[in-house]
Amino acid sequence: MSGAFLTDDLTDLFQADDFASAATFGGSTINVIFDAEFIGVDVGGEVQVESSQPICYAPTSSVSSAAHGSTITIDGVSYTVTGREDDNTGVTMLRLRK
Amino acid sequence: MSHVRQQIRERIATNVTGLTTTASRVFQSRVYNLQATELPGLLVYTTSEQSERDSFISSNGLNRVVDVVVEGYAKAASNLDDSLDTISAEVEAALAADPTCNGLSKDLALASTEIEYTGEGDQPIGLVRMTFSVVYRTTATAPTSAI
Repeated sequence: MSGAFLTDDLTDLFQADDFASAATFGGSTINVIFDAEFIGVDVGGEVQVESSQPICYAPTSSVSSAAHGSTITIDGVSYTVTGREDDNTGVTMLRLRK
Repeated sequence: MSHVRQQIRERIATNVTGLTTTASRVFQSRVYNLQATELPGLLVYTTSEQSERDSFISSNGLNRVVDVVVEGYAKAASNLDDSLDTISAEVEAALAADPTCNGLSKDLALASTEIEYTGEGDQPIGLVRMTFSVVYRTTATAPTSAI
């Protein structure tokens, strides 16, 4: 099947001993790739506020029920889902807040 | 002796220091980013000033109106709007209690309030920007002395 390698390789991509971390979502343990890069948030004032932009990538099949307001725990920190972006090739990015 | 505008800004910063929500996290004319540990906090600026001749008291008198901006920043997962309104209430009450800025100004009044929110970052962040119009007088030759 055309593009099958995309889904075939997802398991390897999300191995916890490589780039992924174990997370708890919907009562299940899943593997996600977590990132929280620095951002300076512009609220419209004279200065920016230092913060981070937590996101995680997961196999779409692992987070199929994820929606705004869902909770996911990564490395012991509980996050609320504020955005969901499916790439339609089997990977979903969740935007998170503490 | 410093410009009366500076004296007013410093007096206002003093008057808003120690409030319940923002405590000692008060910064004058800040240009660098705020850290998470500095929230909720206040920034105090003097952003613009209008002046005109006022010969009623002195032949070279200047009647001045300086805009003093107090920005309140807060970060919270919920009730951010309530936090910003609480900050507003505390700042407004503190400044209204000293409308002459310890004798430096003739009047002080809240001129406008703007509120902003953003969902960027690891928690929502909000800003309330209060602009106070402060009326004071000097002579043209002695801007360091209020008259």
